Amino acid sequence: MNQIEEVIREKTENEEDAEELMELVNTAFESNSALMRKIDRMKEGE
Amino acid sequence: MRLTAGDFGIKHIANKRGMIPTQVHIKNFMSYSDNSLRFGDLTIIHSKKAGAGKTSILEALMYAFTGKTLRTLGDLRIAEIIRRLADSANIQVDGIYKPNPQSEPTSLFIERTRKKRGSDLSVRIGGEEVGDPKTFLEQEIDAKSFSRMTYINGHDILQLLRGTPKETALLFDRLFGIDVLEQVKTALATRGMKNELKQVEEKISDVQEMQRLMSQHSGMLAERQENEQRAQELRELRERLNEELDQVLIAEQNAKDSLRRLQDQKNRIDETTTKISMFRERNETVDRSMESENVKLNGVEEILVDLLDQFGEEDPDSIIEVKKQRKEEMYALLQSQETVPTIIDSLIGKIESREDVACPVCGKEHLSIEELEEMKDQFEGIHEERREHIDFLTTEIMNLVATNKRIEKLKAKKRGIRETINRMLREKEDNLRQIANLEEFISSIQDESVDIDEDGMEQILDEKKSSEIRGRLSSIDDELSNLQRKLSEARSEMRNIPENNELPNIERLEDRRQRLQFTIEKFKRFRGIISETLRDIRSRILEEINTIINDYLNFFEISVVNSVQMKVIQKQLSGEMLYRYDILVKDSQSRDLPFESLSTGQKATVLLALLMSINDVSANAFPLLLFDEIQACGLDDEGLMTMVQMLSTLATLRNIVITSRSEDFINKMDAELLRVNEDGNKVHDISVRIYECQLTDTEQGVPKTEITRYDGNERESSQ
Repeated sequence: MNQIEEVIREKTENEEDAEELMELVNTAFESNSALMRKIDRMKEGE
Repeated sequence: MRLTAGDFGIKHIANKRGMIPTQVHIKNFMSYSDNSLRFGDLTIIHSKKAGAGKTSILEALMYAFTGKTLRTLGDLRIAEIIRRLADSANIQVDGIYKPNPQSEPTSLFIERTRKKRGSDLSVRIGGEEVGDPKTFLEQEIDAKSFSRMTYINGHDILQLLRGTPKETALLFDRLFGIDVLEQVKTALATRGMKNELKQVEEKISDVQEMQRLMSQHSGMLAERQENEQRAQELRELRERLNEELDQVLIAEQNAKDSLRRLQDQKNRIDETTTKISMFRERNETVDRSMESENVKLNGVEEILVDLLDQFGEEDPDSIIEVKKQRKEEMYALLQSQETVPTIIDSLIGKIESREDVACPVCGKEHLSIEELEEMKDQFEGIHEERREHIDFLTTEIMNLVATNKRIEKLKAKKRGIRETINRMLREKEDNLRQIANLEEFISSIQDESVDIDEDGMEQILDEKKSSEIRGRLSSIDDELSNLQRKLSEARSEMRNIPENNELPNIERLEDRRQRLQFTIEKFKRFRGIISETLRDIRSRILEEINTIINDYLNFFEISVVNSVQMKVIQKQLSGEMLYRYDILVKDSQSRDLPFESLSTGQKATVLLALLMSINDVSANAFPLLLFDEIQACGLDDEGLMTMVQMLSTLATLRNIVITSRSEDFINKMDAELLRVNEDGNKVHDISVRIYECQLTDTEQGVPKTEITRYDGNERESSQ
C-alpha cells in the first residue's frame, strides 16, 4: 500500500490529485461498492 | 523460545520483520468452545470433512491480529464470532515479534475479546502492555497486506495452473496487492460520461438553434399571436351570430307558421265559402227541381181530379166491384139462359111434334111455335142486349179498371212527386244546415285569426335576416379558414420551435458540460496515473521477484528448470490496455521451456517459488504462510508429492500453517517428514504439528470442533 501511495504521488503533478486518487484507492481497499458510490458522486460533480 | 526459519531464513528474507504465532488459545470463537493449538515450523490442520473448523483457526489468527476476516477483510457479525449460547469470544495468541530487521525477537501476546456489546484488546510486547493496542496493530499488521501476502488458498494454485490469462493476471495482481488499482481504473471509465457529454453538447446545440430560430421567427410569432387572437374573436362572433341566427330562424319559422296558419285559415274559409256556394247552388237547383215537381204535381192532380170525377164520390174499387158483380150476374143470367133457345127449340120441336107445350116460365100453356119463336126472338134479342150489356160492362169495367189503374199510377206518381218534393225540401234543409254550419265554421276561423299580425309576420320574412346572418357566418368561416391555413403554415414552419419556457435551461447544460469535461479529463488523468503506477509497480515487483525466484528454485532443487522469470505483456486493444503475466522458464541451456510442458511437480515447484518470491517482495512480509485447502490445488500424485517436499523444505524459511482435507496429502507429508538421509538423520529438520478437527454436537445441539493430535504422535525436531 505504501508502495502504491509512493508511486502515485510520484506520478501525480499536484497534491490535490494525489490526495483524491489515494482516497479512491483506499476506498477500493474498503469495498467496491463504496468506490462506485464515490465515483458516482464525482461524476455528478460533487 | 525457539526461533524458526533460523534468523528468519536465507539472505533475501534475513532483513525482514514481523510476527510469528507459537500458540493460539480459542474460546467460544466460531465453532471452538475452548481449544488450544501450538504451532510448529509446519502445522497441518486436517479434517476428513468440510466445515469442521480448520479455516477457523486461520480466521482466529487474522481476527486476533486485525479484527477482520481473512477472506473478505470485512467485519464479522457477532453471530459469526461468538459461539452460540456464549456471551463472548476470546482469542489469545502467543508469539514472537521482531519489530525491525535489526532488532532481536521478543515475546508477543495478543488477546482480543468480543462481547455482544463491545470488544476488548490487549497487546503485550516483551511482557509490557502496549498503550494503544489498536493503533499498534493497525500500523504493525495491515489487514489487507496480512491477508494478501500471507494467505494462499489451494484454489489460487489451481487457478494459476488452469485459469485463463485474465484470471491468472487478476490473481497475481491480488497477490501483488495492486488489484485495487485495476478496480479503480475500471471504475474511472469515461465512456458513459463521454456519451452523456455528447448528449449534453447536442442538447446545447439544439437549444442554441432553437433560440436562433425563435429570434428569427419572432415576427412570425407576433403574427401568429395576432392571427390566433383574430381567430378567437371570429369564433366568438360566430358563436354570437349562431345564437342570433337560431333566434331569427325561430322567429322566421314562427312567422312562416303563422302565415301558413293564416293561409290555411283563408284556404279553409275559401273552401268553406266554396262549399257554401255549392250548397246554395244545390238549393237553387233543388228549388228549380221542386218547382218542376210542383208543376208535375199540379198536372197529376188535375188529371186525377178529372179521373176521380168519373167515379164521383164513390170509391172506384167499389164501383168496379159493383160493375163486376153486375157483369157476373148478367153473365150468370146469360149462362143460365143459354139453354133457353135450346129449350125453346126443343119446345118447338115438341110443338112440331105436336105436343102441347107450356111456358116454363109463365106457365102459359099451349104455346105456339110462333109464340115460341117470338119468345125465342125476344129472348135472343134480350139475350143479345144482355150480351151487349155484358160487353158494355166489360168495356166499362176495363175502362174503369184502366182508369183506376191510371188513377193509382197517378196517385203513386203523385206520391212519388210529393216524396221527391219532400226529399228536396229535406235536402234543401240539409243544405241550409250545412250552410249554417259552414258559416259558423267560417266565423270561428275568422275568430282564430284575430291575433296573428299578418303584416308583422310578412315583414319578418321580407327582412330575410337569417339569410343575412348566414351570409355573415359564411364570410366568418371563410376568414377563419384562411386564418387556420395561415396558422397551420406557421405551425409547420415553427414546429420545432418550443415556447420559451419549454426550452431546457442552457446555463444548467453548460454547467453540466463543463463538469463532465472536467471530470472526464480528471478521470483520464487518473487512469493515466494509475496505468503508469501499475506499470511501475509491476515492473518493480517483477524485477524483485525475478531477482529472488531463482534462489527459491535452487532452494527447492528443481530438476530441468534452470531459471524462471516473470514478465508482463501489455497490449492496447480498442482503447483498452490488456495485459497478462507470462512465466518464462528456461533450462540449463537457456532454452525456453513452455510452462505448460512442465510436469505437475515442476509446475507446483515453480508456482510455489513464485508465490514465495511474491510474498518476499511485499512491504509487510511476514515469515508466516497460511496455506488453506491444499487439497484444492488440483495437483496429481507427482505434483502433490512435489508440493509436500517443497513445503517441508519451505518450513525452514517460513512458519507454515496448512489446512487440508486430503488423506493422501497427510500420508505423503507423514512419509516425507519421516524420511531420513543416508546418515540416518531426518531430511527435514523442522518441528511439525499435525492436528485433526472434527465437528461434533454438544448436548445442547450446538456444534463444536474438537482438535486432536493426529494419530497421537507429536513430531518434534531434534534441535
